[in-house]
Amino acid sequence: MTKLFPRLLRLLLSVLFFYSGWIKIQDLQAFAASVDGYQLLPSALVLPVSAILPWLEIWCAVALWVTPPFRRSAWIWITLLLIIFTLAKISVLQRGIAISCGCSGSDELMTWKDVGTNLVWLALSLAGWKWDKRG
Amino acid sequence: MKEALSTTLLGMVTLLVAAVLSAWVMGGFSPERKLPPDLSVQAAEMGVQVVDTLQMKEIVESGSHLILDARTRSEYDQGHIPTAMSVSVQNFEESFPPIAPMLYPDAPLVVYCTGPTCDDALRLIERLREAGYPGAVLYVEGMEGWND
Repeated sequence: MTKLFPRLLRLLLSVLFFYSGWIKIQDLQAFAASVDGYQLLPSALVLPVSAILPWLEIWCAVALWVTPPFRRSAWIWITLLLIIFTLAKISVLQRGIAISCGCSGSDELMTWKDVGTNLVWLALSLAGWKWDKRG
Repeated sequence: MKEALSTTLLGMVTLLVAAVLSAWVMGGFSPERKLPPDLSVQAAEMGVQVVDTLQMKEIVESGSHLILDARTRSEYDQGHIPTAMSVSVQNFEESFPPIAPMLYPDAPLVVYCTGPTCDDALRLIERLREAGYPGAVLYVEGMEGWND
């Protein structure tokens, strides 16, 4: 049980991040438009950030399955990214901007439910990081 | 402790560098890469007339046009512009026949999707043109503009 739980968390987060990165790479232009829609980044940064972010997600997903120092780095990145994504969504909702979140290929408009989902993932990420340290 | 911290930081930098290199190799920094043009620019290129939110409100109030929602059925079910009918462009073969009897060749139609960055509405206008209904205009701001 003590070994199964951290592995399950690792599996969950790595599948989430790999899928999330992969789906964005399939249509980088649409993802760039989504990033632009958040109105948080200067326009000069929208394209580079939207090009790097999906790959960072994929590499973090992969790194969760290599040696412990890399795993720790991946957990930190994943947690940081989830914090950034959550804050970005809160900011968009508070400014009353109606956009889709651009997270996993969905066109549905962002709601507070998306923030809640992010917080659940963030909690799982923190738990995974903690349990992985123990293991 | 200090060594573990520097190893972790090194790992983080390595992951970031790997992501930057991957993006670079896959053409993510290509100078040809540009943000997709606004839907209204694409509409102008296709010769499609556009309406803004004010005009859309008048259309809804007057009932002068048939309003078509180009998003998926589940997105439509979660909320749509009053009187709009769902014609999901992703599922056109099944979503179009039920509304076809209400149309005639010059029927005034207005089509929308999520907002200025989605292209479902323009794709639906293309499909409608192919099906013999060229009278569709585009509500560019879509649900985003309507909810604002």
